[in-house]
Amino acid sequence: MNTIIKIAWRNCWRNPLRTSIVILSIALGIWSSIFLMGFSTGLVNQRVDKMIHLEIGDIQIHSTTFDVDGDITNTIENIEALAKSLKSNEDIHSYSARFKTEAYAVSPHGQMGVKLLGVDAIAEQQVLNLETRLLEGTFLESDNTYPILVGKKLAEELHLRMNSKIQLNFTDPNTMQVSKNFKVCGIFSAGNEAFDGTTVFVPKETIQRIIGSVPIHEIIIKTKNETQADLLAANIQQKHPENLIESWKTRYPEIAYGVEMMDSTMYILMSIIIAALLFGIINTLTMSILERKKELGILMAVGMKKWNIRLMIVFESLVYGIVGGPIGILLGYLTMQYFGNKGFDLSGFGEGLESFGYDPMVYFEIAPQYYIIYTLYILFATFIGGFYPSRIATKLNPIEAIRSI
Amino acid sequence: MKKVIETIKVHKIFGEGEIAVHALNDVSIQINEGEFTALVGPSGSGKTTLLNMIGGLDTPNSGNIILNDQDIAELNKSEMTNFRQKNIGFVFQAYNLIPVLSAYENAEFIMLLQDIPTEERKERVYKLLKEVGLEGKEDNKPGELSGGQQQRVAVVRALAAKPAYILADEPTANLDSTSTKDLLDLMARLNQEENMTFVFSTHDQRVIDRAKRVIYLDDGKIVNDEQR
Ligand SMILES: Nc1ncnc2c1ncn2[C@@H]1O[C@H](COP(=O)(O)OP(=O)(O)OP(=O)(O)O)[C@@H](O)[C@H]1O
Ligand SMILES: [Mg+2]
Repeated sequence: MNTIIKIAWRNCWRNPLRTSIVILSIALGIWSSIFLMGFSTGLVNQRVDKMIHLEIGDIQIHSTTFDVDGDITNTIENIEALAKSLKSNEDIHSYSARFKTEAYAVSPHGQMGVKLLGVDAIAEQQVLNLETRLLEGTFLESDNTYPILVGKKLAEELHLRMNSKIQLNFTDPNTMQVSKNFKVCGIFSAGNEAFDGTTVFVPKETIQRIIGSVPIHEIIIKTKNETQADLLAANIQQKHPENLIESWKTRYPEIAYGVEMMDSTMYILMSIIIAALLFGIINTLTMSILERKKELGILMAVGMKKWNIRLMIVFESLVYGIVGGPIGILLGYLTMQYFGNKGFDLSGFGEGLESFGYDPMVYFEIAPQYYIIYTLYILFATFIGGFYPSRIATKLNPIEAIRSI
Repeated sequence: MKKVIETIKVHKIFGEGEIAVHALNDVSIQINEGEFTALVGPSGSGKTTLLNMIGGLDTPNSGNIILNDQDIAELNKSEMTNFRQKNIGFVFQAYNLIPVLSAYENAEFIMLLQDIPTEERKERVYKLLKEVGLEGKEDNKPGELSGGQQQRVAVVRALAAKPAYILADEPTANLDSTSTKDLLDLMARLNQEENMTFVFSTHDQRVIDRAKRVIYLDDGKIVNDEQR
């Protein structure tokens, strides 16, 4: 066995250039797979993280009909009991109960439909981190009695600056049109134009003053363990069937779908890369076998079993993987470390990433098990890549092989 | 005396119909232990074909081949490979050795296949390489040895595994006269001292002169069999 491995290893280095090319292409294949995986995982996770931490929270609660009927009177049922049970739930980090209605924002420069959120600034900042995304001003901390926090996109559309006046119009529970002037106390940028252009935050007290009460339409929840959001949502739902409790995955399935899509895209990509490598390996080995037919014939003549000759060729192929694989994994790992910490700047590649909700800075991420999966993939590929050409060797007739030069 | 090789009316045809070549025509020979036999004949007379037959590398169309008391028709391919490994030593015309292995590693190769323990392999190989004048060349690769030195390593490889006999198809064809003489000296000495049986084919009169028995082939038939 040792001899077979020894011969195989040395055979690989008879043509160092050819072997180096195969090994390099394997390393490159693995590296590029890790790079793409790290990049797209980073990109998707960044998007999901941003959504969860800046816009929607882990879990949302609405009245069961809120999505079809967003009327101001369509409030969350049984709010006191619900609040009490949320407060005592061990798995909940924090929650924020919101007033939410459609409103019309008017400035001297234009008008826009917006989602008006009446929030408790402290509770809101526990669930979301939007205060970290303030370009100017504060998160509703203001001496003004009617402060408003607007997104960058809306500020641009309506030409708003700090302390600009903006009028909000909406329908009160008695179907009366109400209208009030607010003063901009802060401008945020969540990095998602759809959100930044249509969301405004005001303190709950202002709603109380305008319509005399604060109906609650939406509760957003931050869990202690993000990965358990689905389970927790189902638990709360069971206890409070009168409302609709949804994890971010159920509420925004297109985002969850994106995560899954990325996974399968990566597997398809990896398979294509492996297939290309496989052709390279088979081609190289076939060439190297045909070049030394005579030698193989002699091995057979002096009594080496065909099975052992096949094994030797499979080992030769495995050498490619055993040398090329770790090089690729190491390069990939270093790349991940670098772009995982420093980030990969996309701002040079495309304007308008923000309009899709992406930051131009992507921090690479990869689940550690992918290093193992890729290693297994490549070992498998080199095994198959050796197994096939080894058939040529076993079909050789030693007499004819020895006669050939 | 022990009979190590026997062919009985061995017939070998290559091709079919019009183009069929009768490479061997009912060849019957017996070779005993300790003989030093040359196969001689013009090109195409069937020397290589006969050596392949008694080397268990090829099978006849008719006739029987008994090698070291074994009728090889009874063996399947895998058993045949094993049989060759245990009983027959081969020295081919040229490029006998595995280029990536050193002289030492080449010489021990068949013993490795036979699972002979390291110590014993080492002892035998060093002793034999020394005897054939390759002391100090143990770690050289075939590419670093002359043609004659390579052939001597090939003989050591065959001999070290203690076969019943050694077959050599034109072992000196690529060698200069000094190397030819050295190789012949070596084979003759091994034949005398160790009683090793050799069967070799050749075109070279100097080699023929050293043989103790010469079998002349022509057109696939034995035309003369001369003991000296
Ligand atoms: N595989 C084969 N297919 C067809 N014909 C063959 C084959 N092998 C040998 N022959 C033919 O059989 C005959 C005997 O060939 P062989 O090689 O045994 O001769 P030889 O005595 O060894 O000749 P040389 O001295 O040139 O080596 C020749 O006519 C040759 O053409
Ligand atoms: Mg011949």
